[in-house]
Amino acid sequence: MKSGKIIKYFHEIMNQDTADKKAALKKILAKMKKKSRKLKAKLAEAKTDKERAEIEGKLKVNQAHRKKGLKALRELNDK
Amino acid sequence: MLRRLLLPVIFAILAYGFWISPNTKEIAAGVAIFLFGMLYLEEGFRAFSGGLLERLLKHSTDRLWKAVSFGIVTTTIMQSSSLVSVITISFLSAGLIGLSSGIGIIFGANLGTTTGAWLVAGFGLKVDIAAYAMPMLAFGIILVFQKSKTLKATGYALSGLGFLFLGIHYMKEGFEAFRDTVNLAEYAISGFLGLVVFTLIGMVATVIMQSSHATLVLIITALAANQITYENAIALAIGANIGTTVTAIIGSMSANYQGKRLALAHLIFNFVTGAIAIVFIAQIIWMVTWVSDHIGIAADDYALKLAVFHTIFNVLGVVVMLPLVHRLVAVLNRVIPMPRAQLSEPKYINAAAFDFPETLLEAVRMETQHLYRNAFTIMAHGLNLDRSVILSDVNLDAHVDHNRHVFDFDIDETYNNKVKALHASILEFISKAQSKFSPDFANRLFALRNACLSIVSSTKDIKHLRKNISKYIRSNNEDIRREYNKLRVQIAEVLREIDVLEHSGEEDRDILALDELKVAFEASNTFATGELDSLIRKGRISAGMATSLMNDLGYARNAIWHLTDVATALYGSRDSQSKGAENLMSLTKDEVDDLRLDTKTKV
Repeated sequence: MKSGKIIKYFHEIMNQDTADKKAALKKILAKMKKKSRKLKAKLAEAKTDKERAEIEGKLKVNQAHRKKGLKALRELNDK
Repeated sequence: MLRRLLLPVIFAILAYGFWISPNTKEIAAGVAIFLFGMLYLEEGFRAFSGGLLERLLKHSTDRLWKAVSFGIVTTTIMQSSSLVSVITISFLSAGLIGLSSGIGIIFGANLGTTTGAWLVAGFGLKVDIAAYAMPMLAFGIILVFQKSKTLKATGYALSGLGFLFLGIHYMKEGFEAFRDTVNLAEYAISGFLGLVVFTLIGMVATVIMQSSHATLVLIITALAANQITYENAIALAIGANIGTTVTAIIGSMSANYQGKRLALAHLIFNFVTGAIAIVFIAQIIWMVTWVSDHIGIAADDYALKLAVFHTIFNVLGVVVMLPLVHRLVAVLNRVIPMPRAQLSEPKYINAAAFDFPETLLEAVRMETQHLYRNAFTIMAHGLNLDRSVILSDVNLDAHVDHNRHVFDFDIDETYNNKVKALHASILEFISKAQSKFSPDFANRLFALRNACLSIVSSTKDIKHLRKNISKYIRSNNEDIRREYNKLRVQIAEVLREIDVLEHSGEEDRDILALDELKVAFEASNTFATGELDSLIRKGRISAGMATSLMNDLGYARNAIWHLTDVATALYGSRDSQSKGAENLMSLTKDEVDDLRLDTKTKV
């Protein structure tokens, strides 16, 4: 396990560019996840159909962003 | 006329000097090599810093004491107060630092420059400096020819230092030899007359050589060779300090009003310091003697004593002027008022910004924001909405329902005056700038150029919309009125979101939120959803209204997409990896269309 971690560490140093890309993606994905939670909380409190429709629209967009981001992260991990 | 005469006069004086004594050739060559060394050193630091200096400047100068410290440290390292002045004027012209910070840096630079005198008097004259210079030159020049930017910059800095040392060596040798033929000390003038005359000579010499550093080195080497008296050397040093302000004034000529204010502040500071030194010369000389005795400087080591004098008189100047900075800023603001800016004139891009790539990029970014602000007003009024309504929290749906006011203005003329003219200036500036720096820099510049184009395109889209918006928001047909109000609200929401992005901190910005507005627009697109066909079939709107609306939906979509491009360019992440991640996750046109089909229309 230890040697695996060391190999992973050196692999990341050699591929600094990929490591930086992954870090940037993870940061935005974390932000999107936080936003998703906030939108779901707002949806629970929505009073009108219009408000609900608006928040659901935003949630769908948020999910689409996260899906794209996760796909890109998986591709980088597979490299 | 004076400028044209200056060069022939300098040549004539030099030729006369060479004719009187061949040894003046060595001194003159020493000065020339020294000045060349300074150019190389500047080039090295300019290339080496690659934005670091500008980033440091931005973050290290928000308080006056930090600004002064920045000036001291950078001038000590770079051995050039001119370079620090030029950077400061560039940043000030681009609006990146305030005037009081700029003044603080100049004060600090004046203090930092005194280390040069210590370097020459304490080290340069006491050792065989040429022995250090030659290997520096050899290694430095080899590095200059390397392809790597870092090695090249190191080469410039190293060989610059080598030339500096070599110049000092030749000046030293030249004055030693000169002594055998001409004894300049015979022309010494003592007393107050000597003080005034030699101060003027010091000023003139510095104006000619454009470097107080070079003048000071010349003074110290002449003093060490007993070619001038200690008294006259002090006066020359005072003159050199005043003469150096000419460099700042020349640098400010291509700057805007802020740069000119800073140059005037520099002139005032150096004149006041010089005046204090002249009036209290006896007291300062006493202080020099006292300090020299206490730090172990020999009584006859006039070169080091001159270094002490130079330090004391600059410190005195800073001590006197620092508490008066805010008053000085008020005077400068009054004497050089901010010009009544024409909205179509550039505010931030000017020739002073060309010196450093990061400053230039920042100036172009700010000018792009200026262009956007001009366009924003036109777009708001084109939608028949007040700017203040868009920038507030007012419910836009409710507002447009109750507000059918049409703004009376010539949108074409306003566009030509406030957007097209400014856009042309920015384009011209970018075209001149792109060839000066690296390809990576050029790419970042082109991104801003494209943002400007998007601003112009979105303004033109709204220009196209204006006629029908103004017509149909006053129509008695409720359906067409509702559709056009919807367009106004959707575009206004994008403008509002961009304002939120502008005023959010970098960490809080959610650039991907712009996709929500694109999807909302497509989801409610009457044509795409088939609702428009239904309205025509039921006779709710005429065919003429329908064709207008179909065209205008296209213009509205283009305006929204262009505006989101502007927002991404101006307020997206600056870091290239984060920007890449944002681009990766943002939705394409097809993805927006797919989401439109899944999303309920806003009722």
